[in-house]
Amino acid sequence: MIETIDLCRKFNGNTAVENLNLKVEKGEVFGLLGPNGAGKTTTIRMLTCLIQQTSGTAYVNGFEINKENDSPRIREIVGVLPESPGLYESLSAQRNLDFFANLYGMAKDKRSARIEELLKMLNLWDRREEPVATYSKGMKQKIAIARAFVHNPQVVFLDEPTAGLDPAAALTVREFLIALKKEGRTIFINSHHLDEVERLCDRIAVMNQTALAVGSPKELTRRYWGRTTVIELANLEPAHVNLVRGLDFALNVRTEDQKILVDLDDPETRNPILVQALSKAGAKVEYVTELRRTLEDVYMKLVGGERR
Amino acid sequence: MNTDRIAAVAKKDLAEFRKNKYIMITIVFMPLVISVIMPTVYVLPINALGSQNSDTVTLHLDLTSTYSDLTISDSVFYNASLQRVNISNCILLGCMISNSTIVSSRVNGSVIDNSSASGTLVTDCNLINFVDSGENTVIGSQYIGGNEELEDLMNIMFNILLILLVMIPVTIPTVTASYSFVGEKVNKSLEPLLATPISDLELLVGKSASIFAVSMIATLGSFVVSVLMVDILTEPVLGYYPLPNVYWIIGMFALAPGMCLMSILFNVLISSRVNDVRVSQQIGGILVLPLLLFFFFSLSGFLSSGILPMIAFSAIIFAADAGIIWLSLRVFNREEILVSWK
Repeated sequence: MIETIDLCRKFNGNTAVENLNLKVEKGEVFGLLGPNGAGKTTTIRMLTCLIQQTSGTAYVNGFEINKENDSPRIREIVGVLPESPGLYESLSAQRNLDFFANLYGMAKDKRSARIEELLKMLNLWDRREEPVATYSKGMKQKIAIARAFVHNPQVVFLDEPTAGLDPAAALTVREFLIALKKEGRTIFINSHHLDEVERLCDRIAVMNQTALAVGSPKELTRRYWGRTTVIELANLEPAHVNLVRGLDFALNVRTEDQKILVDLDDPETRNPILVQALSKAGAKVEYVTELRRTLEDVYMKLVGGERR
Repeated sequence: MNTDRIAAVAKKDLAEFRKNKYIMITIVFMPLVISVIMPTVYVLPINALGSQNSDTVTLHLDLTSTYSDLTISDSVFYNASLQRVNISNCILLGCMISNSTIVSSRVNGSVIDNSSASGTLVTDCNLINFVDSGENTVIGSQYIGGNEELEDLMNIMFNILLILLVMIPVTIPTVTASYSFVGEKVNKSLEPLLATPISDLELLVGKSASIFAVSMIATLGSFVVSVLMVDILTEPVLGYYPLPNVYWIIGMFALAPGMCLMSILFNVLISSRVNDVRVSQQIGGILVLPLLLFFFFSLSGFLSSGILPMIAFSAIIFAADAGIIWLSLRVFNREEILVSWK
């Protein structure tokens, strides 16, 4: 559905995106993670034919970006939520959505039905005729997301869909996105909210000008952190640590307070052997657990360095 | 170009204008002042000048004899109608004299229409398009047309009124276009709009069309009201309706749209460089300068204030519009708006 091939964009000699290679399948929810200035917004702008690429190319549903005949076709089949909602504040939610649906060439009766459907999903139907200026930030963001979906696009690009929202508003937006995800569209999300991406996205890419890693959140966690078993002892001694280090399946062994942390490939099989060996050496095992790594850990490792 | 999309943008902008009190005040208040208050203020001097000579004249003509295409001299005419007559050394009382030449005569209580006189004593007459060829003594008469002093004053007043009228299509776009382009940029609503299938040209045309429509409706409405006001106020004094004349019609239907278009497109260019609606309005105000210069030169006599200079100036404005359209199209494209616009 979306494929980028060595996509590059420079601004006055500064590289924003460099040799970006991504592939997003139809119906997939794909997250793009990266720090500020990583080129995420630039990538969306190129994919939606808002700006030209410096080199490389990309395809959206088979149409090549920024190609004279293909650009209008791409704009017809994509929906975009930019960083700012950018609504017409003096107009009502209904008027805002109707204007955009009209630009996409939807017939009046279809526009009305679709707007009603979306506003009801958002619980904003009763306030449809009020000026958007009277809405809360979260409500505005929901209208902006609804605008991206109003013409039933095949692909939707969402740039920071929950940025700047309070937790309750962010939750509402996430629930709305989950409902829209069920409609089976291809959704491309830029976000700083790792937790949100982990919950919403089938696959993610961590990028900093170029793609540093691509995969599902679980795959990336395993790929970059493996799995770590934590064993807390009542009587941690150097001999116990040395014993664990001597085991051939223990990949990386370190201590933290009264705990031994061991990276393992196959904890389900190895944990019993590990506990047995420690007990035999006189260690008093208090508990055994697995250290859960999150997408944030992967992100920090790839982009911001290790935290622990 | 997709006209549905252009219409959608224009309608959306018009809906936004209606909700913006600053725009509505400008659209309603400015034309109202210019078309109602200004004609009253500027036409009063014409009334005053006309009324200076009009108090004593009440004519009741009873035309009993008609003379035409003659040369007559050393005669006395009473209640006669003279058309295309060369009159010399005559006394004319209560006569209707038209398209004639009067030399060294005395005319009293008559109407002199479209005629010239020299060396003549004219008392208590109505003078319509009267040509004073010299050495006349005119007492207690009312000039109706043909009075150079009155006509000069009228021209000045009408020119000033026309300047004010043409300022409407220059000024309204500085407000509406500022909100339409800079406002949209500040509000960050351009990006979602640019992500739709609308082309850059369709967007520019749609936005310009709404501003043009609002500005020209206000201008033409003011034109109609101004003409009515001037005619109502001056007809009792002048005896005819002075407006609309060709000069005003060219001003309204050529110069005004040309200036309006220029103002809109100039604001597009400004929008690419400023981030504040008020700054945009202030810079947009610069466009009034060429207009003021043209009228200033016309009034001061540096340029003749006739129809041809008006046509030439309108043509220059349209030529400049073509240049600004070209520049605007270069500035108003997705890449420029998102990457280069401040």
